[in-house]
Amino acid sequence: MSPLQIVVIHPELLGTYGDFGNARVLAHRAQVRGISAEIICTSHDQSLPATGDIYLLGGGEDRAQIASVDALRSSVGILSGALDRGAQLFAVCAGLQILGESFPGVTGEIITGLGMVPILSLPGSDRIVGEVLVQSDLFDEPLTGFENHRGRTDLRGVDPLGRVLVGGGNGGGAIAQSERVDGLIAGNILATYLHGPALVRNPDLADHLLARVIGGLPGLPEGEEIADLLAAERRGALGAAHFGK
Amino acid sequence: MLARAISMLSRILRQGEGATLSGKVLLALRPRAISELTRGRRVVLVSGTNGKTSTSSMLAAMLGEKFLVGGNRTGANLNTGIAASLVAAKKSNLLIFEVDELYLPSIIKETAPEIVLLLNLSRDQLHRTQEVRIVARKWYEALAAFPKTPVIIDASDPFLASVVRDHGPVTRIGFGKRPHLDAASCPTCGAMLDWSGAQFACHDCGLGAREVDSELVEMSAVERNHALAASVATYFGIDDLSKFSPRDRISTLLLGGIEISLRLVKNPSSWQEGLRSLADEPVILVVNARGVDGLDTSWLWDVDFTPLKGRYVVIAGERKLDAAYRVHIDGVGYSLVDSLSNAAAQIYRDGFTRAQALTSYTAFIDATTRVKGKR
Repeated sequence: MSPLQIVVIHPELLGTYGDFGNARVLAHRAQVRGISAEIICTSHDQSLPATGDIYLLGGGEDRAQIASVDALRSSVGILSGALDRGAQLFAVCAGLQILGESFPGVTGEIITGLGMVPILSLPGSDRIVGEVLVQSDLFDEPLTGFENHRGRTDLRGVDPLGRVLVGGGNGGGAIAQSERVDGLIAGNILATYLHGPALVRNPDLADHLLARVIGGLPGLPEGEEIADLLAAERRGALGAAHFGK
Repeated sequence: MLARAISMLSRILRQGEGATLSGKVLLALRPRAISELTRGRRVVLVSGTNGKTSTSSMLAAMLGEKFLVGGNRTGANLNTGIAASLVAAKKSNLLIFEVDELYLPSIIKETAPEIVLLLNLSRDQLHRTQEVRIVARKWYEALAAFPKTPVIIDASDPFLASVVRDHGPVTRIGFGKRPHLDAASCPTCGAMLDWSGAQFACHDCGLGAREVDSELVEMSAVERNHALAASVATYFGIDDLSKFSPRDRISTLLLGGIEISLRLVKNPSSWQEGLRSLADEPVILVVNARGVDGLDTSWLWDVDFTPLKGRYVVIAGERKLDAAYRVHIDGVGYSLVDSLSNAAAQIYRDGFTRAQALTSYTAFIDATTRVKGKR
């Protein structure tokens, strides 16, 4: 069997917040289960491989985001084709915005996105920065992460990844906490504002992506408990904030 | 009268938080104190993401040959720390201030410096600074108001090259091609930078095409900063710098029966530099994520921890689990402890007499002030 291919899209542009950690964790969690995996980095001047199993889009600064979307326009067909045959796309922050209809540029101008999901990102009045706690129907325990973005994203007919218990997520600002949602799930696309190494802090989410490609996952060997310890510790810290304890 | 009261307050509070607090009081009473107390005086500003404290200290030693030097030497580099140090520096005929990156624009405006030294600029505390490019743009605008002020930069840093691109009196010291995490695209125009040549180059706006005034290669960060400080000293007419050598901000601590050399590391580039220069001794990592450390620990994934492979590694700090999972993925074995003291105790039990610690900012301050308090 050929190794699981994890494709990191434009790490030199979309990697502001340790985003490469997502690829490392996916590969690691496959490998320790006896599933061979390889990480393929595709820079903006290379064309996207069509054979990937999991594609990763990270976060980045405004200009890098625009350079990335421009470089990706010609690869939308390759990406859509891969998703149609079962590949997964996980996108974070700037990567999430790129997938939609449009997003704000350096001075608030409108940049056309890849149009792969019906979402629209607009500039917010302030920057949302801090820890986030998100309850998704996919998992029993909430997801945790850190967000740092100015853009706000409206979902137009796709489901969010989950409800935001602490933090801003897609909205923030004027939107009441009880109404806030984060990210999106659309077919084989999963995206979130939990930036950087979201899969590091959320091993269940990493395993969810792996399972969607591989099917049933074997259990983890001993020595891998640290991932769950970290996830539980972060949930504990944020849960305390949320439940006012 | 006011100055004397503040001065007394400052003496009482000299240690630790004291400098910042007396500065807060002074600025509350006299918002323009920095501008007033520096008027007509010779001021040198040192800023950058990494090395501000050690470079200012090296520079103070060099300029101490000729001047009565004052300024903030303890890392208190916000406006409050600078204001506090001014109270104590009445007789100084040269002021050297290390300045936080976000405060540099206002401090330039208030002090009208004689010369500015810029060390480097890269991602740090992104929850606070947002984007490196935004900081660079603010520096550019601040310097534009002082077109005649000499600036010395590490010209191998594309962000600094961009900051001074339209500035007149610039001394560019090159240190060979050095990869930069944030500079895949041009800091000035956003086009992709070409890193294939001997230096970075932007083919759209021409960034990187300027000749450097001198070129030094194969240097560590502290050696680079020493060379940059020496350039400032030369500007002030100090020619013989042979007795000064590069010094890092490393503190030594006796704890639990062992000697620990503590090194402050606070962002991907300083961590990488710290990991590059490890001695063959047990290593303690202490990772916190309080405000000044950066609230977000995702930067851990921008650092290559493989230099720790096969070493004796102990991890402590409030975010030790984040650090532990990070090094685990790089194949590094480790043990977890609750505190620096427990790390020392464990290392002592295992028969070592020395260790080296890489610590985030608040952990470094905690450890070093604890020792001072113990006298």
